[in-house]
Amino acid sequence: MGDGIGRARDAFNRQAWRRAYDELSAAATAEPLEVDDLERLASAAYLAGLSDESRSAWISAHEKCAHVGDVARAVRCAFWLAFALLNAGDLARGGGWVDRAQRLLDDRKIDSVERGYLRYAAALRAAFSGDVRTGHEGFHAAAEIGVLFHDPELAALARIGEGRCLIWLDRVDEGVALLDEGMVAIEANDVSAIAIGDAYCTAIEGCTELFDVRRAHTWTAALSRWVDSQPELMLYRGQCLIHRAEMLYLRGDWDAAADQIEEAYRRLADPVGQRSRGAAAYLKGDLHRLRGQDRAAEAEFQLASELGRDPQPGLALLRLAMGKVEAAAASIRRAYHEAGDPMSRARLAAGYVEIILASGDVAAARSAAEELGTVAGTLGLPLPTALHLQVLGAVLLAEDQPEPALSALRQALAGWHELGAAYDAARTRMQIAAACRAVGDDDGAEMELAGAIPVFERLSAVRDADAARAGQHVATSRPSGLTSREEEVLVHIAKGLTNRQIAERLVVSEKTVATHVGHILTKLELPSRAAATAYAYEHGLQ
Amino acid sequence: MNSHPNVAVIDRMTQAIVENDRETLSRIFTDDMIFHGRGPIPFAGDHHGVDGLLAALGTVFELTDGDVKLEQLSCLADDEWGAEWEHAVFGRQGRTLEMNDSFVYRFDNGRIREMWFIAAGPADAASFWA
Repeated sequence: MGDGIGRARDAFNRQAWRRAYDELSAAATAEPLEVDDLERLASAAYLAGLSDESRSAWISAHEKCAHVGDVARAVRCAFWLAFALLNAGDLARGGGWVDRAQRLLDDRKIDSVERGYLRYAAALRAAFSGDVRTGHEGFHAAAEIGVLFHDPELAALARIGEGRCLIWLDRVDEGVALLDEGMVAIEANDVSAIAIGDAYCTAIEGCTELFDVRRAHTWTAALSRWVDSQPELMLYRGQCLIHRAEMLYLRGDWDAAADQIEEAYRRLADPVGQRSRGAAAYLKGDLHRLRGQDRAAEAEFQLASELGRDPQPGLALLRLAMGKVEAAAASIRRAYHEAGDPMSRARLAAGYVEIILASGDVAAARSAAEELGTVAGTLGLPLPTALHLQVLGAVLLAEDQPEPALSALRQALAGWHELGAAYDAARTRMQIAAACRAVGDDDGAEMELAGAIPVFERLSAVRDADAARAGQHVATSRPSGLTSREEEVLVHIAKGLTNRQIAERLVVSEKTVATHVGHILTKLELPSRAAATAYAYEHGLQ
Repeated sequence: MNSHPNVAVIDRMTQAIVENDRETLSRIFTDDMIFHGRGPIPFAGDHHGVDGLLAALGTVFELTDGDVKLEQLSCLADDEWGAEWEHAVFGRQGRTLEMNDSFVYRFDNGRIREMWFIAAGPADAASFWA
């Protein structure tokens, strides 16, 4: 054995994956590697983002073990190969290796912990194929085998898989408990780096699917520490890295979120990371949209779409911001109705409601708000609850029910504050301001807007900042007798806008605008829109 | 080779033990089953029911910290009796014990009523498990 092998093993133990791979590859040219080193080579290649090299090494290790009759170890190598293939979405080849390894164990009638690893891989294949029940049974059996054989890695991975399946089967509480149990075991035991990375990603994805921000934040922070300690680490299942950016985005640290996306790009291995790259492009697009960088936003949404990530609701919201209400409504309706299940629709609900309210379809918005309320009630978590209350407040405002809208929106604001979600809190304050104006409380509206504007300015959310400042302007020029909202409508009437156009501008229903127009004419004792226009000109409101 | 259905029952039993699948085990064993452990082994003695069986075998996994590998060498069965030979490898505190063990089964209408474990190489086993 040369110095090269010694350096390679040292690099491997220091988790310098690329260095370990390079040293082992170089050593292999001098003499064939032993099985231990072939396994190190395969693992290091996987963690350095070299998928083909990793697979070749696992196959070599498998064949070497099978050749000398060490069936259990040959099966273990086949498992890691299948694990990589299945997680990369190659269900056919991954499944093929599971079957091949299973035959080896069955032919020799061997009972060892490897039987559990194969149960795990078969469950992974079932779950990825959409057969969640079979996946759940398999993960459960694998976890039991892991416990019996005192294998914390298998037990923890299988518990996490089982938890994910239970969440998909709507047994959310049990599922989340198993995710926690599995993650605690992963952190407490001597577990391989491949297993740790996979466990973090699975748990974070599960929490994110559930809108469980706090739990996702906890595991994301732990993942960050782990990833940061290994500069040469590449992750195939890099979706979890994108979730780090999403956490920063939610908390209003948009610059850090943008930096995090760039870091995620660097860490994502190709071509397996395509789905994750799509998620990263979507998030970048959304940041550009919120900052009024429309062309950059459009380009990122286009890229997200090419990478397999549906660019909604971001793209539709971009269209809305550009004043293309009908196009926005058509896109978001398509996405919303294709979503298939309440949980998937919940992810689109806020954008959907905002856009269809702008298009005047209050009934559809009400229906979406109610479904989101059911999802939030089932989950009982802060983020979906705040989201539901905000959406409900918007619908109530559009239905001309400002008092209950205020109540819902204030609860939403408290929820956003609790979550540290600065942007969402500021957006909610804008809606609260509108509700205050609708009940004639201009002071209240001013205070809310004054609180929201600095947040939008800090984030460079230029459209929101402009809208908030416009709201302040309306308040300062209000003629006696009219509410601020009515005066806003009057300004638009004076510009010759139709009720529909006004509704689009103010993001309320056409019916609401018609009601405001009626009140304006009554309060000002005017006979027609033409007379209202003249009034506006006379009072310098145009 | 023997393809009596009770061979498959024995194989299913082994899988269910490994997976802690008590539901399957309760169908495979009669309610009054007895497991007899014979030889210098940690679970020597008689054990009643599925719980008794699992607890007895569990001691092996506890003492070895799960370092257990079993390979079935052959299995025969008829309507009333079955016999299974296995090669077992155990690791414990840096030591390894390899032995060929035997299981004998007595069936009652396709369910296992009685089961014996007989350790081969008793001297090695005695020092390993001591």
